Amino acid sequence: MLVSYPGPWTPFFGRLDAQQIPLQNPILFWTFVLVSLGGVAVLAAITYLRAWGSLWREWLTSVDHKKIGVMYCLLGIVMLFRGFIDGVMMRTQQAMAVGPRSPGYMGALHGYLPPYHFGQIYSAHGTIMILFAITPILVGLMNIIVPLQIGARDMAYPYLNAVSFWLTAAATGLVMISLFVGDFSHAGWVGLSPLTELAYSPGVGVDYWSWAVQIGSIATTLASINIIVTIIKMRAPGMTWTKMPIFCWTALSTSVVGLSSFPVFTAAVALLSLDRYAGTHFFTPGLGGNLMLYTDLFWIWGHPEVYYVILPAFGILSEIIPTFSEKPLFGYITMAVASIAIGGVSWSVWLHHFFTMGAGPGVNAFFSIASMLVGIPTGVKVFNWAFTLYRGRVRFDVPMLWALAALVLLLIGGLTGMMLAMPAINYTVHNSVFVVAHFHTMLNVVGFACFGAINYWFPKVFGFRLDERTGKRAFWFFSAGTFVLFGSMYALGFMGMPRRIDYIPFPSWRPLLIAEEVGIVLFVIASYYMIKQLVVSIRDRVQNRVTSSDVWGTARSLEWLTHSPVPFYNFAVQPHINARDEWAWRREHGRGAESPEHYEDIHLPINTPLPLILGAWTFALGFSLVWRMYWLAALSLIAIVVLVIARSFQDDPGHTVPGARIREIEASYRNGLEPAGAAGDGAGGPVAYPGAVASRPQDNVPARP
Amino acid sequence: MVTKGRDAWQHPQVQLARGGQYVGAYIVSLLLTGGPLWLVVRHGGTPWRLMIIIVACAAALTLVQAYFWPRLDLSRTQRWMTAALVLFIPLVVMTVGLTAWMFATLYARTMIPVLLHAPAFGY
Repeated sequence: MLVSYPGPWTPFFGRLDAQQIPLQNPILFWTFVLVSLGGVAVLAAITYLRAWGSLWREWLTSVDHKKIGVMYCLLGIVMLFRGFIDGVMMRTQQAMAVGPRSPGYMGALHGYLPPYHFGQIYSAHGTIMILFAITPILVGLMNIIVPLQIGARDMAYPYLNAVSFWLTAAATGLVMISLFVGDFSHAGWVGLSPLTELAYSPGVGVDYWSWAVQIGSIATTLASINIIVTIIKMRAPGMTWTKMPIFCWTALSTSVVGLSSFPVFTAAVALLSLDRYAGTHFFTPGLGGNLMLYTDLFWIWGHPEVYYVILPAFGILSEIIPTFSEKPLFGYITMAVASIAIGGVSWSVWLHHFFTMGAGPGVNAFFSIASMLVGIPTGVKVFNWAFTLYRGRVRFDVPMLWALAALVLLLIGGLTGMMLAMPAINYTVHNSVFVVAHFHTMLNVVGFACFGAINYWFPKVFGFRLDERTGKRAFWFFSAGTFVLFGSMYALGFMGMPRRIDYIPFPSWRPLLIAEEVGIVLFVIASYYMIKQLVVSIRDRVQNRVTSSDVWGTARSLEWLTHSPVPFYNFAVQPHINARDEWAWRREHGRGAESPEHYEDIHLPINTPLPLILGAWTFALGFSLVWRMYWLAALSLIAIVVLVIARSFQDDPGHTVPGARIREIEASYRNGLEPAGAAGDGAGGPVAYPGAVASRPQDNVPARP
Repeated sequence: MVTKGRDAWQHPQVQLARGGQYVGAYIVSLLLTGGPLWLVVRHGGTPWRLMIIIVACAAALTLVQAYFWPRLDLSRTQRWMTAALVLFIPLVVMTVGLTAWMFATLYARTMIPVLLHAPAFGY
């Protein structure tokens, strides 16, 4: 072996043995029991409903951008809840473990979490929330909306799209399985160097983290390529750059940021893996290595990553606010320029994450000024949204509530960001929870925008609205939780409380820690209403069914031109773009979707299980590398390479949907029916719409009440 | 660049493959890497001259590898690849340049002077 580490190793199982399953930890044991029961219940439900076939044909093997987008969002939402539970555990520990007299439970000296377990939880929380919750949700939204907004039938590379998703799922699976087999990193989501080195973290936790984020970042890089090419090459006729919806501008900017920055992260963590597996010394403190080089490389990616998640959120706000202000977006050109500018500036600010490293005053001044420059395009955006609201007929539907609250949070996060951009202040509050409160405010801007987007586009994707009443309750409780929790955290930061501590030595901080706990309880209530909103909406889906293409009545961009739910072919006729807000233009000119005399055949890609299989082998590769089962790692890598090469020789002619079938589906929509298979089993299925499909009995569905 | 059909060998990018040129570029790369290394080991010249030689060899190496390995040129097949590389250059210059700047005086600022004479730092 090139490196030495404690514990046994066998050729077949590597470092894995029965001791690695933490049955002795009651929290993990009961979590395992609950997850197992939940998994069995889901599998039983699928079996009972005889849904395995349709699940396989219509979802797991799908290359349809909408379905992949929905799966991305589902994955992100599940991980959002996982990361949220980590947050609840951290808040509860910090509320309990205050002062030397605070009691300890379950092996902890204070509170209920020993330091090592607490370290894993905050590391998992950060990694999950940023890379496996928010990022998949945003990529999912871009997947669904971008092709619809530019009038395309799918992404430029539908197969690559599915590969990206299943690689993300594989990375997520690694994070999740670390709960029950081995443990997770305790070195923070940033991979604090040199704590991540083998000498200081000899377990498998850092390896789980490193392989998960490497696989996830490759997936996101591929997704970025796909979105860039889709936007550049697949816009509908007439959609010039200045007629493109603003969400697509932000998707383009964010994808350029993703494409250029994620490889840096992949490379940095790969170098760290070489340190841990091959005994190199890239980031060790001695022997020629430089631990700050890791921090440097990490944040070369890390800060653009911040804008990778905020830019689509800005795009979402730019879609929601005009719709519910019943006005066009103010300052479209400046908004597009600002989106690109934010992406550009994102590359020159990363040192502000480690001002205290000790670089010279000239360096710190440069990065301080560059960081403050971000405020200019962001300020332009905020003023544009404000002017869009000004003298608009503002409606307070659920998406608008989320969007408006996001603006408030953006103001708070932006101003505290300005404070942190000043090295003098930064030295004072560095590594305090003030920083944590700042970036949670900013990431809540993204979260609020995502919740707004889900409420806004849900009817377009699924054909029925989300329940308003429970949605508003979820919003108000979530907002209250945000302000109570992070308001208290800002104050604690000013009082000097460090981040990442499992024990709080000063009882004087306890009132604010309890206030934070109150905030997290409000989040729990909000989560209850979010789940209830989904359950109630699905239960009442017939009453909440959308009967028009534009459920809000005042939407503006192209996706609102087509039916709800969107048929698998997106648009029966490729739209010609006449104006910047195409749907608003058509509405005002009395021109809806075209109904031509003759419908063209539509060519679409066919489904394939290969991305799912590649994802499974990638998971096996990651898992085997974590446990150093080198035979399985080699086998997985060979399988992946062989499959990729074999795929390149596979004929993929796609499939053609006859124009007659499109005519039938369109006629059903116009008659107020939702045609069977229009949104589902025709989307690239292996037997999708052969010529005789028009006579299928299930097409004669009765009208819904 | 999208090709129809089963034969991946007919893909335009695959058609650009040249085994001999790959090997030739590899040998040239070895020379362009080994030459500066040899000069550094032998202390062949002033530091300033060495730096000029190393930078020139690195630039030549970049061009050789970019052209003969991924075949980056202005053909219809490869022009987007070349454009991606050209667009990437400012980011490389910026990140490497700023990193060099921030680390240039870091040890002198952050290390205890005695440590600067420790074996790990080459003294």
